[in-house]
Amino acid sequence: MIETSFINPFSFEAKEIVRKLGQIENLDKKNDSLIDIIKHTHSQKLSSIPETLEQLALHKFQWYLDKKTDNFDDKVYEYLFNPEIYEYDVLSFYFLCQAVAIGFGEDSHEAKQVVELEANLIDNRLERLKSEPNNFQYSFLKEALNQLIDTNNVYWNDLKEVIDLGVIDLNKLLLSNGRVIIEYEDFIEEYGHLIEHRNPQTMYEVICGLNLKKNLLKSIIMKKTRDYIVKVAENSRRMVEPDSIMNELSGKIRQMEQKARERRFGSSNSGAYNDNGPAPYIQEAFPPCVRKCMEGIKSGGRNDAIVLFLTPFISYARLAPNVFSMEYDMKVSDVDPSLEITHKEVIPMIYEAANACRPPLFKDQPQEKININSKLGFGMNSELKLSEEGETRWYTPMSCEKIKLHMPNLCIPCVDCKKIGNPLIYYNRKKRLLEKNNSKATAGEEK
Amino acid sequence: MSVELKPASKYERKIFYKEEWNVKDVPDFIRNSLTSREFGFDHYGNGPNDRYKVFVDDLRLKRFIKVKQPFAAYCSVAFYDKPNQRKGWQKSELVFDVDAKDIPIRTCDCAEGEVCEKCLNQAKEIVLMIRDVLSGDFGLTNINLIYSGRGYHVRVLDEDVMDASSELRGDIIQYVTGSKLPDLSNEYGFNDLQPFIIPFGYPKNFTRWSKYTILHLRRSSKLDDVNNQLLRDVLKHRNLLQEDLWGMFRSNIGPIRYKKVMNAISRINMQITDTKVSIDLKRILRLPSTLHSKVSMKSTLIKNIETFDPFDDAVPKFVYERND
Repeated sequence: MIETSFINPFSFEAKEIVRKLGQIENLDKKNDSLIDIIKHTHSQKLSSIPETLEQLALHKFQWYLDKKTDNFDDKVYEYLFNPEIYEYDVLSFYFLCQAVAIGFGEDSHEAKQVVELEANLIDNRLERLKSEPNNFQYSFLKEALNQLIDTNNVYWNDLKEVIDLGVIDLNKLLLSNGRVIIEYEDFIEEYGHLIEHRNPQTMYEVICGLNLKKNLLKSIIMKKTRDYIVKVAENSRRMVEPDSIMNELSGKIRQMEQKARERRFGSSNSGAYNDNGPAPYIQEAFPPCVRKCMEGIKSGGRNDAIVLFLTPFISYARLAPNVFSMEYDMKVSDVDPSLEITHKEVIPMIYEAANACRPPLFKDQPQEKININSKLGFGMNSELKLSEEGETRWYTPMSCEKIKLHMPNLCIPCVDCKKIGNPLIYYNRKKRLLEKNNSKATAGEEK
Repeated sequence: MSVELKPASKYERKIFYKEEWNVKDVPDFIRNSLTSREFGFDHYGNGPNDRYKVFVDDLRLKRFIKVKQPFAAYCSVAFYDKPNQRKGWQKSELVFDVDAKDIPIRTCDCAEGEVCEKCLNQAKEIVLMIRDVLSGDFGLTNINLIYSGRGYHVRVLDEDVMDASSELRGDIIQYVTGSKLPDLSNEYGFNDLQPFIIPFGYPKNFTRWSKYTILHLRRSSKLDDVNNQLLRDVLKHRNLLQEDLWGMFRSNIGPIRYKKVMNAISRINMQITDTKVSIDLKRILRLPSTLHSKVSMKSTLIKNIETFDPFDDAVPKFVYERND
């Protein structure tokens, strides 16, 4: 028997658990029942197991961080997927949310990580649910989902914020007059008459079925988790003295993150972290959209292409190609203190592309030079001066999705674009591949 | 009588705003929210430089326009607490901008940047398809169609969409214009599932738009990653799509080449509307009822799109009085 609260910490049952066992004084008390469940989990490694709710919350966070590393051992965390842990799982979920809300705030990286952690946990748990018969999966998901939405009567606009999270594609929802078709009986009523020569049940399974329900469940829980963190953060700001236990827990989370970062990047020799500073352009590695832009854009799309798209790409590609692995906003002067590279290489390359436009961009729109400076973080000024740096933000390169919307003409993906979400990521990967190939070729010649 | 789409002179603008333009022709959905909207004006044909304007009532708007006789007038799709500072954003209309001169699959012989009856009709067909998806799939009801002078604006004022984020608007555009290949991957072993066998939801919409685009392709059309031979084959077999014989069309083209074609078609579909306009929460759009001075046409709220003909319903009187 799997309880719905094992998946959904916002279920009625979960709320009851919190009401009964959610006292904060239980947080650091040794919990024999929890230990017992963990010890009796199949394939569980017993070397380091959580003994208190606080430790459980921290272990969950550690699981999330460890998963991104190469030496992740899933047997250490097997208990997280034992359905019997549901009560303690719910309690640790709320403690974790409270700790990040109070310690870091609702917009923090940590808050986002907790939302993602929960989504990953749900994904893994639902994956294991697949071993259960289809009927069980359907009734389980129906019950879990219906505690959050009325699956026979939900409209797309009820799910706006959920869609905004990006887990569910709008075009994966079956929409009819605004209503989202989720259940089989509604599917048949709405589309049954359109289906010929095919089994409607199979059609339902393939187009929506269990997958849609799982994704919906996960996304709604993500949204609710985010909302809960916002609520706690707002409440905590009104408190005279923040909860010291929660502050302590958030302090431990901070240390944990610091260690994880050191492990990930500290001894890295992949070259990824080394590119945090300036690195010469390898134009061969530029993605197709950048190449197209460099060849010049015709009137109508020139401004956005040069100012919004190319300027951030060209500047970060030369000055800080690994910007996305850094967790703070950078300034150009952090990596190019004298602005020499910016003046001698970055700006000329952007201007070259601007001049290649038809007609040349600055010929009729000289003010775009100021806009380029502003996208580099130097405010709306005609010259790049260190004293004016910071008046605007140094724009990071826009994602592939945004490019498709803003400048659909630019995006002509090649095979290497698959699964890449940002042109700069493309550039970094391609650069590494080229370096690898070059070193192989050199080694071959030496032989 | 044929109408020449040439620029209006300063004198013609004066005549239009003095004798023909009436503030009551500004649609109610704008007049009812006048104080929440930002107005912008282009007085000399260099773009809307006179912005951040607010009018507290119809009378002030009327006076301003009658006196200034602007080259072009605009108002924001956004509602603000302080429209004169563009601050306190409340909500924005959802807009689809179909400019006849920018349709990527025009079947006419217009030069770049120009429009004619044929491409304006094509823009109208596109607008109708957009409206069908917005009402049929999304259940939206407050959909206003505007003739903009060189194309159409679809302006949706349902409260359900007015608070949508830029990202969500991007998703809606992709859905409405069928500009993303449907992801039909599944765990049930159906590895070659094609959107055209699914007669509902987004796959149906994607198929509809793809059919439209393919049927409007020309020998001179340029499709990414589609060479001349493949384009020729698409044109040769596209009649099958009139009967919705997609399976035969695909097999005649060949599945791998078909995939290339559909990839390219989805990208063309993305260009059917100006996506930048739709995702911009603070855009200003041409004010319906005012003059598009570059082509001497009136931007007009359309009461019945089925019978609307821009060359009957959006031509200012002065055009008929021209001597040349």
